[in-house]
Amino acid sequence: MEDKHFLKDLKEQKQSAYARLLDEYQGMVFNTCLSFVPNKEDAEDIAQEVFVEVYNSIIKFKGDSKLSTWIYRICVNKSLEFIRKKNTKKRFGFMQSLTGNGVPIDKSSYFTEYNHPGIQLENKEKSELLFKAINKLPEAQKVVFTLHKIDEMSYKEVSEITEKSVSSIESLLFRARKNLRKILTEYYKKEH
Amino acid sequence: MDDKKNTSEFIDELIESASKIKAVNTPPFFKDRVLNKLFEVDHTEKKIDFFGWFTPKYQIAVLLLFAILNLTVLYVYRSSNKQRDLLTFVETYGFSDSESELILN
Repeated sequence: MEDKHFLKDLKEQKQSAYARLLDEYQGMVFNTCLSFVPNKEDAEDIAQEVFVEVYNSIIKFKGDSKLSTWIYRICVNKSLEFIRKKNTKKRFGFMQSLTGNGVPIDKSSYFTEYNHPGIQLENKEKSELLFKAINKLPEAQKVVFTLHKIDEMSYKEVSEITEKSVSSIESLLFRARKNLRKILTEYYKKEH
Repeated sequence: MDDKKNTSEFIDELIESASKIKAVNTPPFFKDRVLNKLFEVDHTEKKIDFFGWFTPKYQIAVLLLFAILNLTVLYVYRSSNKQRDLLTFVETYGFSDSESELILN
C-alpha cells in the first residue's frame, strides 16, 4: 500500500518522493555502476544519469517487476552504454594513432583511469587486470559475471534483472569464467 | 609443470578476487546534485512545452492556410481591379450606353 503511494508520488514527480528514492537507492545504484566502470567519477556520472532516466521513464513503469529490479536494469543499460561509447572512442583514437593524426592510447582500457574506492591498494593491480579481462567478454557474459561475482547477487536476482532463465544464467557464468581464464592465460603467456 | 600450476592457481585467485571488492559510500552531496539536476530539467522542459503542441504537422497546416488565404485575396483583388479598369476604359472612350443615351435625350 505504502509502495503504491510512493510510486504514485514518483509518477507525479514530487521532489519529496525523489529524495526518498535517493536515500534508498543511491548506494545500490552507485555501487552497481562502479562494478561495471571502475572509476569513481565516471560511475558518479552514470549514477546521476540513472536517476534522470528513472525520473523521465517512471511513467512507463507498470509494476511488473520490483522497483529495485527495474532500477538495476537501467543501471546495467546505462553502464553498458557508457562502455560502448568509450570503446568506440578508443577504436577511433586507435585508428587516428595508426594514421598518425592522434596520440597513441592504451588499447585495453575503457575507463578514464582505474580508481575504484572499494579495492585495497595491494589488490589494485590484480583487480585492474581482472576488469580489463571482463571488458573483453561478450556483453551478456560480462553482465552476468559482474552482477553475480562483483555485486554478489543470487542467480535468481540476476535472472530477474536480465530477464533470462536461471539455467541460462548458470551457463553464461560458466562460459564467462572459461573465457576469463583463457584471456588471463594468454596475458600471462605474453608477459612471462 | 609447477609453473603451469602456479599460473592456473594465480588466475583462479584473480577471478575469485572479484567477490572481495567492497561496497562503498556514495560521494558527498550526491543526493543534492541529483535532486538539483532533476528539478532543473523539469523547469527547462516546462519552458519548451509552451510551444510543444505546435508540432510540424500543425506548422505545415498553418503555412498552407496562410498561402491559400493570400492567393484568394490576390485573386479577388485582381478580378475587382480588372472590372474597375474596364469601367474606366469604357467611360474614358465614351463606349458606355447609359452616357450616349443621356446625350441623345
